[in-house]
Amino acid sequence: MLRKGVGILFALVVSISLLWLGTDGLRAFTAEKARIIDLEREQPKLPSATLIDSWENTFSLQDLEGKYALFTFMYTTCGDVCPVLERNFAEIYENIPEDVLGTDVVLVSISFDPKNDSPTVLQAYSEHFGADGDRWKMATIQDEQELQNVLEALKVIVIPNEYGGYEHNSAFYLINPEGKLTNIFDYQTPQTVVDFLDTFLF
Amino acid sequence: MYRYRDIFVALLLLLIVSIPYIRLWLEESMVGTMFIQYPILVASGYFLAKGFPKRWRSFFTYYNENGIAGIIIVLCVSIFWMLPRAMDAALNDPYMEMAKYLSLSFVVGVPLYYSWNLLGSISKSFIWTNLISKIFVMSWLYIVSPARLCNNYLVSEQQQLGKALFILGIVICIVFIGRVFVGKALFSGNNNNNRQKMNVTSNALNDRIT
Repeated sequence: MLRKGVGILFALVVSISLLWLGTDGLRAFTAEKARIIDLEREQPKLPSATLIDSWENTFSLQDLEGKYALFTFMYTTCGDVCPVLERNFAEIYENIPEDVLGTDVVLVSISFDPKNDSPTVLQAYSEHFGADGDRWKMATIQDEQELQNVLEALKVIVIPNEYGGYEHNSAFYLINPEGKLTNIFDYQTPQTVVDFLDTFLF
Repeated sequence: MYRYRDIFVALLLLLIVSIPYIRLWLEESMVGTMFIQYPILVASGYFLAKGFPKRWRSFFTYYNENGIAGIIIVLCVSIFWMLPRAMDAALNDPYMEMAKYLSLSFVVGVPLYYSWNLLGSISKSFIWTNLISKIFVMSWLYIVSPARLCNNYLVSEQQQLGKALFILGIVICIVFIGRVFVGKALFSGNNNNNRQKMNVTSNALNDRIT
């Protein structure tokens, strides 16, 4: 009887600790959540990369330092998640007060499909979502290596799907004025981003 | 000696799923991973344990007299590998892949053999009913989830897995219900032995169901 009890207790302890450790204390059941927990702990610094925006202006990620920057990753021919992602991004854009928008916070939608998303295409996409191209830029990284570095640093996984598009993880990425990634927000709840910025910025 | 045959089967199964070409082919889809690779790995451990020398039995059942400790480990380790996160990790990290192969065969398959037959019928029924409900819940989750649960798989594959799980659940249910109707009749016309026979029958039925 005692031996049975010891066995069961041992099995329970081992099993529960396995599941506990395997899910970061029952917080991360998917790799996506685990990725977010890891990134927010590591706070990686952005690698250098040159972007070209919808006005055909080039700027580097380092030019954004000194301001809070919100990023999304998308491609314009995307039919499922990206339109929702960008519509919600527009909601953030509209809810940030005028006096800090552009001076303290900038929004950048980065396309990971530079072949299709030329500045002209991005211009049309900006108009569709009401982005002004300055305080909310739509841009892409044309250098393949630089693009990979950025995706890698922020652990954005992009895989081509069977319809010629991509499957990718969607979120809002907040970069602090030192150029470090500090927070990742669920793309379905734009209001939390505004509320978060509100606590120290507005 | 059937022992060597079991060990041979176990090693053959393990070898088949370890061939790089087959491994990649199975891991390409979620259905292949969960429905073919995982069960084969568990089966290889099961047969391996079946082929172990008889005297090893006492070692494996020393703390596991009623099979409950073993089955808890079996359940939790297999649940762990079904977490979308662990599935992803095994694909991205070769060490996790190795851990998956070793744990599904040795930590799930081996204790499964040493525990399942020791379990009472109540524990067995409990596990079956739990398993069936879990299969349906998971199938529903995978079919309706709009978000990609595994970063390495597409949403469409996730939905395929959901449908496959649904079919599996239905099949298990049909098998169980079918067993109630189809089976050997154990009653006999001899009145003197009826009482004893009845007991035998109910025991046999119990074994059959569980």
